[in-house]
Amino acid sequence: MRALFTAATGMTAQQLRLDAISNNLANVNTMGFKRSRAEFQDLFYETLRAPGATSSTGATLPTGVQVGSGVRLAAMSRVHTQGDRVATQGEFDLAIEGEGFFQIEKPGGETLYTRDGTFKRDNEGNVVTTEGFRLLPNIQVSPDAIQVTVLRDGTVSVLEGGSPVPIDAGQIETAQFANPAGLRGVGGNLFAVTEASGDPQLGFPDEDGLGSIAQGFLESSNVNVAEELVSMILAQRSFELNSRVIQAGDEMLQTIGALSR
Amino acid sequence: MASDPYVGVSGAMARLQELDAIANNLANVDTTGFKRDRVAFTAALHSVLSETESPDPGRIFTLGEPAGVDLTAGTVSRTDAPLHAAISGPGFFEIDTPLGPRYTRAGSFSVNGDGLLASQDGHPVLGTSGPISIDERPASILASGEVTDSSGAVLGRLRVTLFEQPELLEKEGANRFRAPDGAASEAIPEPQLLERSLERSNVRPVEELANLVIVQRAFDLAVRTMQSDDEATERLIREISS
Repeated sequence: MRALFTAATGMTAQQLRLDAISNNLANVNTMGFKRSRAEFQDLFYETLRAPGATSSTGATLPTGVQVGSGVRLAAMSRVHTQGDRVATQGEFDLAIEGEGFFQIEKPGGETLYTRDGTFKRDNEGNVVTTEGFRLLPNIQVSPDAIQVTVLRDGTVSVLEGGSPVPIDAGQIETAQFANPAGLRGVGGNLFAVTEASGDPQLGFPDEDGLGSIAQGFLESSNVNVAEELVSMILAQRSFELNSRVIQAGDEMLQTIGALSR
Repeated sequence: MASDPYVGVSGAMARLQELDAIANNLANVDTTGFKRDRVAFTAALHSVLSETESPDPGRIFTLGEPAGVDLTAGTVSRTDAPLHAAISGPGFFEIDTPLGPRYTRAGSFSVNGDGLLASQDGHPVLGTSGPISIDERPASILASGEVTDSSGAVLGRLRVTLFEQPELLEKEGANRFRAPDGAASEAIPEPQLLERSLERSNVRPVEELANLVIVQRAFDLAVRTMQSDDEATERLIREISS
């Protein structure tokens, strides 16, 4: 009764798929969130008869007999497509249009990456994330700044009270990866480098394949609610179908059991 | 005696094997590029006697079994991931595994630790001139099979292999097929891909569910045959001994 175990792997797979869907739906309003999708692979096969084998009468059999043993989760991969641009008018709200990630310095020195451009100014004038982690390279905006302008290429200029000329406060550098899907989500909209993502390739926005910066906008989550709901229905039905196999297997075993009475 | 009890037993055994095939198909209803195993009801009344040339045509044994892989294309759905591609028409992507070349319809590629375009389990995908290296910028696969990076540079072109007899391919798990030694194949010169899309499993749940019901009923019938054989034998013994 291999079928029972095979169907159980199918049910587990659908559960994992539902886990991914529920996480996506929970983050439908999380700025810079990238949806995940569950990728499945079939498990190994037992070959009872190889295709092209010779039958007892000497004929070449056109097809083989292989019995599979179910399914497993191959990857939970992030889909790094662009989310919609939402106008917020916030001075420190920045969206990247195209490739690239903002670099964030975690206390302790680790560099993390994010697409969430909801920045603030801390008590020392540093540009920081909502959690208070500094943007890299560090950009300081003095407390008596009247107006902060961020250009497409990430140049930050500050107009201070009493000065007619804006002061250059530095340029934002963004990072791109050979395989953004290989980044590890660490929560808080932040990603960490892994061996699979490749090393960060730093550059200035709007140059060398990197996206430009839009001030006063945020990148919303790339979760498509309608798509996720359809996936949810499919996951639920697939789960039911697999449980139906277990039921059928059970009934067949009962039939055999009744025979020997 | 009406028939051989093994007629019923062989029927019941075959039905159990078909249940295994249906279970595997349904478990893989969401597996990218999965090809379903056919459940062979056409073979349900297959006579082994014709194969062994036995003179008794009266006893019909069952050799029901999954009869090969159904290689029809699955539906293609858009995923928007730049390294996802689905093959339009026949053919397979070629994967370079330590055990030799393997073939797949699952175009859910990513980049492995060596900076090569790879399948989900990290084996490099072969282009027309070997593995494709993506080591600096994010890349995407175009409809022509070309792989380009964010600056527009062409990094390689995916190879799509066409088999003369694709039905000889053997499943290996992990969405891969193994080709028998010396299988005739050629690379398609200008492959047609659907970019940012994946080929879904070709399992049709309704069909599998219908097969499931048929298998269950056929199993009941086979067991009933065994039962009536048993009862007939019992009656015979009783009448002889009385």
